[in-house]
Amino acid sequence: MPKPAQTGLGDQQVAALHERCQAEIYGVDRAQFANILREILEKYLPEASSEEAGEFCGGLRLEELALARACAAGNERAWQDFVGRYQQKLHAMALHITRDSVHASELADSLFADLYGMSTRDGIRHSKLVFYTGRGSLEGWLRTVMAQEFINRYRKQKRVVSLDEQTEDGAQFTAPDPEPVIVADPRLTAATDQALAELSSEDRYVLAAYYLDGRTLAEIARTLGLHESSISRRLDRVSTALRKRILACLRDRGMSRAQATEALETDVRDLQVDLRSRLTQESGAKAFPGGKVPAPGAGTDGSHV
Amino acid sequence: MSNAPKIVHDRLRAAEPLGAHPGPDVLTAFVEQALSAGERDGVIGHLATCHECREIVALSTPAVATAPWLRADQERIVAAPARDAIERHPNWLTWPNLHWVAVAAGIVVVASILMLPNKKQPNMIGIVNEQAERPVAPPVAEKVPLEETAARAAPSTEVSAGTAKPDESRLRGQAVGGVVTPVPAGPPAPGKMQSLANLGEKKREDAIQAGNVELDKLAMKDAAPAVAASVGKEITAPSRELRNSETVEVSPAPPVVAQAQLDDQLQARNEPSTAAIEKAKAPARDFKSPAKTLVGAKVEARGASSNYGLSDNSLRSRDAQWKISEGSLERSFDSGSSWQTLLHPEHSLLCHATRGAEIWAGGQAGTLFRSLDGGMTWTTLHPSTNKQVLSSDITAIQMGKPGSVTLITPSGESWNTSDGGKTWEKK
Repeated sequence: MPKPAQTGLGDQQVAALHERCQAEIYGVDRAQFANILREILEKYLPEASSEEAGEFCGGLRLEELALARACAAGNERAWQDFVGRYQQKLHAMALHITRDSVHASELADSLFADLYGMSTRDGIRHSKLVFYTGRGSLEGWLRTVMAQEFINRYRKQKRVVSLDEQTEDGAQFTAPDPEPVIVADPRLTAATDQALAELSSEDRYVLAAYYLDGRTLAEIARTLGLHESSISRRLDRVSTALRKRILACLRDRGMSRAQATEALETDVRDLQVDLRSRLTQESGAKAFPGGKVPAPGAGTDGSHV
Repeated sequence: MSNAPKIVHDRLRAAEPLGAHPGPDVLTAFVEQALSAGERDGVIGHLATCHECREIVALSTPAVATAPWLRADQERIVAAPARDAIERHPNWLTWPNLHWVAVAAGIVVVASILMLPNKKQPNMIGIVNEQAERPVAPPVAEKVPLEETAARAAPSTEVSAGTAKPDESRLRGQAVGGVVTPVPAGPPAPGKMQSLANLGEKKREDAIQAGNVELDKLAMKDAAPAVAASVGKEITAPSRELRNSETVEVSPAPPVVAQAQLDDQLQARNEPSTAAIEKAKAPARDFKSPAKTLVGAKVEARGASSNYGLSDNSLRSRDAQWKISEGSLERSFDSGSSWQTLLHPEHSLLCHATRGAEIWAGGQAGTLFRSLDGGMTWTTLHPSTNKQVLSSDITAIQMGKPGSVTLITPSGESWNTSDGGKTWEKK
């Protein structure tokens, strides 16, 4: 009968990792450290073998994990180290995100309070640092948390904007332009969904980040760890392939080549834009050149249409 | 960059977020490339459909320079999909790869330095190879200094050697296959020596019939501009013609010729027009090297031969005047108004004799030169019999019948040859 795979870390592994990260100096003893690792393993690798768990935990930022958890537990030395390491960086991060010194200070102070655990629940101070698992750098985690906080704040503030502020911002409160009702051929929608589903998730991410979010090639490249030119080439390649694939899917759905091309290239918004520009050109031109009013139903050459 | 169809934008926007939002720790690990391949694909799949998480990722991605995971002591990039391994950007800028870049750059620099001297004499090498492969080429190829060759007993026949002491001796020489080109050196009378890559007589005749004679430059140690002189139809680039070069000419020039003339000569090489050719001809006669350069001009016979006795310089040699001045052989085409130094060997020349395009010049320590083409190319001869080598000075040269020459020494000895210097008889 095969022996069931051992889950979790062995004591020796925990001891080695505990010694490696020097968690003892922040008052995190071996038992506490083992509990932290077990908690992380249960979250990410609940059924991992001992070897897998050891490999996974070996890849964690254990020293920063110990620091964060010690801070969350209220260790004074840990806080001193944390403040010394990250206080300046937090403000720099906030300034990078908000691009405004006032909002940056506000955001950084708010996050610092959350990290310290100003909020209490059931009389217990809760620090956000307890959610740090060491999978990335503590600095990166702080940046991500701050970005998340910024987006949440921005969303809240956007909901609560006074009419005065909107007026100051230049809002005219006129009736907004009606959103064009896009009535797309269901076959085109289905074909597009199919073609998009056949793309890799990374290609879809690149398309969405570039076309929907308006991210630059450099920003996307940094996110994916690729070179900017690679993103450019990929966008070009994916866009071309996507167009061909949609056309093929449309033809599979019974369209001729010309119909598929027309359905893909024609967009209701394009029609509206073209119509507007055409109307503008016609109204700008002389209404009745030559002083002659063409007879209704007659062409320019006088012939009936 | 081609745009995606607008329906694609709409469908991307309409996509529902896939799965639960990843936590900050996972997003951090994603940004820092610290996720496993499977986890990364899952996160990207969610990001492709979740605008909010894409915003968080975009905001939490610092500039590359400040990315903490790029620091050497913290970098722990978990294996990424293999198809992206080549495209991974952050890695190739890190030190381990830059180390190899630096090593490669160093190798390139060292190789360039080592190859630099060789680039100065590419034409020489080409000619050497050509001469070595040519079955009709003369058999003797001497690369020894002139003073060594002078001591040799065996007389050279078709090809003779010059000196190979570019800096120390006044007679410079470059070995070119079977030809050594002695070049006069020194500030007062820098010049060039021409060496002859001998052609078979038949080829020479063919060349002169075709009328294509090209003059080109031999790139030598202190390469100077070459002069293109042509009696034929065209002047070709030196690099293309080297392999076909048949004869190398060294034409020492007097020091009075101006640099502008050299420029004109250079320009003439790039102007294969008749005017340019004519322009190049005149300076060719008075060519000089301003900086002790050794410049050879190549006369190439295309498709047919040339008896060089009928070549351009040979024809001109009928009007040339010769003299020995300060141990050098000089030539004038303008009735003595200007002179150009043709030979300036280590041992001073003492006498000369001419017969049509055939010029002989003798000097100290048995120094003896012969040209059959009016001074375009020269051959160093070492008169000797079975018992003795001519090592005394040659004070006079007497030319009799064609091929018959008599050398007179201060002691009254006379050395005769009746075959143009192939064999000698002492009296």
